[in-house]
Amino acid sequence: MGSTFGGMQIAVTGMSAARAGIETAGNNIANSGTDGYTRQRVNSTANANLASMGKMTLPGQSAGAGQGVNVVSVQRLGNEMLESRLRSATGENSYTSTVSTAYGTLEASLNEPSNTGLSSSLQSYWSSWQDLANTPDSAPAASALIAKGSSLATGISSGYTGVSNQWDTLNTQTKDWTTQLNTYADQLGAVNTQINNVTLAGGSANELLDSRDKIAISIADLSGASTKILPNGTAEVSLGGNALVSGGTVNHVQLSGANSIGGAAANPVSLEWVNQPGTSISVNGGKIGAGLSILGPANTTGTGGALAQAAKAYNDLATELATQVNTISESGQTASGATGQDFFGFSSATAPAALSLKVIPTSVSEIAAGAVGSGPLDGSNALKIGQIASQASSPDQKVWGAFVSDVAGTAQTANTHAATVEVAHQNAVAAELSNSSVDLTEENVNLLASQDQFKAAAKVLTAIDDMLNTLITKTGV
Amino acid sequence: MSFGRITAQTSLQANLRIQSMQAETLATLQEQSSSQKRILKPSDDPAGTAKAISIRAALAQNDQYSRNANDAQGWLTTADSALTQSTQLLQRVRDLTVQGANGTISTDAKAAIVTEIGQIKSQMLAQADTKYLGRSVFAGTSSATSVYDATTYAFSGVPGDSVTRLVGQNQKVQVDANGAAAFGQGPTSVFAELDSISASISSGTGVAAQLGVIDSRIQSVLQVQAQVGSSEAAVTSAQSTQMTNKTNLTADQSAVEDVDFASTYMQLQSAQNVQTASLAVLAKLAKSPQLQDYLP
Repeated sequence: MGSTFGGMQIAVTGMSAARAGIETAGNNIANSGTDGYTRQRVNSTANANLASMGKMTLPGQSAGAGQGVNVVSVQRLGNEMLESRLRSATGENSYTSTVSTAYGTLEASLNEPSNTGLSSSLQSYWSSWQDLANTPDSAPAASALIAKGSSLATGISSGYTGVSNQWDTLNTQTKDWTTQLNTYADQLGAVNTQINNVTLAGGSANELLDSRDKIAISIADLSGASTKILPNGTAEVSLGGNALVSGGTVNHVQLSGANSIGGAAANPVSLEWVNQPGTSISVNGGKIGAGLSILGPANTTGTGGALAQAAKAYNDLATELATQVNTISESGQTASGATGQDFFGFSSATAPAALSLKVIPTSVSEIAAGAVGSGPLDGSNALKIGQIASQASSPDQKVWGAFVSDVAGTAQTANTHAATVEVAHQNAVAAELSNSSVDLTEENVNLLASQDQFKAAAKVLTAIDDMLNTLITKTGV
Repeated sequence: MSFGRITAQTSLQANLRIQSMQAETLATLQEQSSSQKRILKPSDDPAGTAKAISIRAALAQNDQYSRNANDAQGWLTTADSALTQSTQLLQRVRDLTVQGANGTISTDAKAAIVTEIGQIKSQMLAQADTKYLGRSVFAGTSSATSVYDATTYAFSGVPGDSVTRLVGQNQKVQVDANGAAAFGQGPTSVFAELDSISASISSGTGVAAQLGVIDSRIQSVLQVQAQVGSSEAAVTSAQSTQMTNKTNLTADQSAVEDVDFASTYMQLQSAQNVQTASLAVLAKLAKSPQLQDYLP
């Protein structure tokens, strides 16, 4: 048994525990709509009775109630497993959705299948050659052919420009993302320092841990970097095997490489550490990872960066078209018997083929419609060029058709993948929210319980007071 | 989806997610219904896109073949009627030669026959010059203004050249008639022969022998006409193939590119219903009762 007044102290611990409960429920309710807030609970333990506290328990003194309640901490009900799952799902989701969006834009720019796309332009161009073959001396047929050839060249060049513009936009975006990543890394470094200070001082860092997790999600969204939570509560973020943030130390990253699709073949866009320029970081997730993969240079197997690959297809189309048409054109003769006449030429040897393709003839007399040695009204060479359309090796099928099929297949895979990852991400969000979000009903119940606890503890105080009153005023009177 | 713990936030999040998925489905269905196209972008159906592109190419080529065939018809009909008229003129010459071979014919009548044969010769020259859309149908790829020289009867066509039209894949049809084969050239041309018949009739010698010459000329004109006729038959058959191809290709294109309207409309209707229902759920969720509503 403790002292006569010991019971009052027990009642007081109950009242302060109840107050802590009311305040915690209040804080949860107040933050029920706060983004990134994790619900909190009062963590309390019962105090043992005085006799059992010491080493030497005297016989007969072990009986008696405990010494009330002790509020150990206000615990943050976060789940590191769920947070970590959400981070990796976010990184992957940002990657796949950025890739899928980029393919969507690219696909839309192809404008296939339609009556206005490049394959239609090619078809009407080949038809014009056959029309000219039927009337090799007709100036209108020749003008129509020259116009169709020019519009084909324009179509190829504007397709290339579209891809090049998309590249520029994505490059700028990736630069912005890199800047954001550095900003978040700085914020996380600062939060880490604060967490460390507060924890060392024995304080509660719950709200700091919320912002730590929120920033870590943003970093995963941008870069897919992996975050490890250390026992002291600070986050350690590593990107490509090296630390982006470790405690309060932050290493900045920067985007290097060419600023145009043309230059990116020799000088590819890559992410590197500011303090270690020249060594690229391998980024496999997040928006930046997606940006880098789409901006990558083309290769011969067609698995390079989507945009460079598209630009290469436009260049290949221009080159192949010029080669196939010119080879036949050179072997024919014009109405006046001139041979070696080209139809397509390139206005520049250094610029991309797609941008410099141009039509050489300006009138019917400069078009090699006839076979060498035949009469001036022969159109058999023009027909030969027109018949390129129906060959399996035509630029339509060999270059353009193959490219459109490739993009369609890759885009479909990217879309399907993005949809799957999206579901996984939504599930991770749901699981995380399910654990961390505030439920008002639950808080109301906790509030009621704490209220009742307070009332009851006050009642205990009244009872002791009443008992003391009896002892002092009514005893021995 | 299973949650350990359901809160207002998780319910809202789940519902919003479903809302956005439905909005996406609805948008796609609406676009498909209004455009009537199943393939809105290549990735909707990569195999279908490749097929659609090649069907469109085949349709464009087929259209070109039928333009070529129409042009070929024009050439061949023109050549055919010129050759028919030439045969009729030569028949008349034969009749006149038979008359001229009669020994009792008067000098005046002979002169009349010679004059008529002279007129027929110029009509034959005109027939040989027959043009279709400004192009001589008997001189092939030559750009000469007249097919035969009026005095030497030299043929201006380019030997070995012919005018052809592509009426199907790898199916070339010759659309000009070989003037040299039908009318001959230089001293062995029909015009020289007509001059010789006139001379024979005027002089009254060797007229009967000329009948053989005129008969073999009629034969050679008919032979060329037979070639023209077989080309015409080839073009007509190619045209009917083109019609069939066009019908088949258009049907194929529609099957690959167009939506099945009934099915898309049903899907659209059901997507709208689902959206209405899930909006109603969202409204209920927003108004769902909380414990505090019942506390004093």
